[in-house]
Amino acid sequence: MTSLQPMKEENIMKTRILTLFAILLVVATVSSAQEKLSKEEWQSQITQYTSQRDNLKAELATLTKEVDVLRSTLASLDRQIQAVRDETIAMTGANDATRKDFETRLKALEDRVAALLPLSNQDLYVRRFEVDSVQAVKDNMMKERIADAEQYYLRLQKIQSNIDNLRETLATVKTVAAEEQHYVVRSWSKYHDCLWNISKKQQIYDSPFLWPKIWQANRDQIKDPDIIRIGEHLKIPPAAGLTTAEKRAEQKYWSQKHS
Amino acid sequence: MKGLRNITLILLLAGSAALYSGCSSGPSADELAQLDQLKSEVESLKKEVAAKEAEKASLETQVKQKKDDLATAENNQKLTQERLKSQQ
Repeated sequence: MTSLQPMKEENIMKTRILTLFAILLVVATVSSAQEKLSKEEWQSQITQYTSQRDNLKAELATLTKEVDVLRSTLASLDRQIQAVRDETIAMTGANDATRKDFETRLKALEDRVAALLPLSNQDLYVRRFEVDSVQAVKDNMMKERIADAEQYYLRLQKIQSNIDNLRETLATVKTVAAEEQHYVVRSWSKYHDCLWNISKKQQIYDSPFLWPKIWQANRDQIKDPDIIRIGEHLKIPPAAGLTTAEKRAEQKYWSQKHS
Repeated sequence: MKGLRNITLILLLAGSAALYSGCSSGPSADELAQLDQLKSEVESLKKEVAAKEAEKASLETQVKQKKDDLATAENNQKLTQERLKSQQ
């Protein structure tokens, strides 16, 4: 009895292992069979994809035709626009050479004005005579008959508007330069007055980097630009870029400060 | 004896399942290749259609812009004519 018991248990174990193996085999085989495409499914997919392909081909053909028509319309519109523009120029009596010359000069004028627009107030003040120059060029161009062509007329109007803006800015700068000839130093504790901050004030230079200008204009009072006294009357020169002497003084100041 | 019978039954069951799946009818390798080719053709056509639609949309925008440009040019011509007349 005692020797038969382990043999029986061994048989049960073998049967269980084999059952498990068989179940796994069946599951694997059936699932593999399910993954495979049946003939009917293949046929169905072939029909479905063939129909989809045919529809797409038809859609592509329609789109290609529409794109061709649009391209042709675009080219036709380009020709019409050019013809109208040419007719307009011809109405002013200008020929092709006159038109090209005028366009070149107009573009150059636009570029000159555009270069003045982003300047700071100080730099614009320095180059204020250029504003008068572009105004003269614009006025002369307006006298030409071709300037009556609307496309050029509009561009010249735009140039005039920009010149007007430049003049307005210059008027402000000149007013400030005329009025702010002196500045009375106030306390650091309350007003943070120092050459840098005074120069930065909008009514002075609107730029802290022009502080050497104030320093150099007041050498009699300011020995050390780091020290200014409350109540000192500082001369404020007109707004402009730093002169060579002012730049040199600034460089000397920084090199001494860093040494 | 009982164990042997069980083992035979299990193996029989597994064998018949394998036989069932192996013998079921399916498409041939050529037919499957034909389906794959069809699928890739459809994908490629879809891309072509999408590209064409984008091109069409871009051209439509350009045409609209050009029509506006033409209207502006015609209006400019009219204004130029009026300005020249007023100067005479």
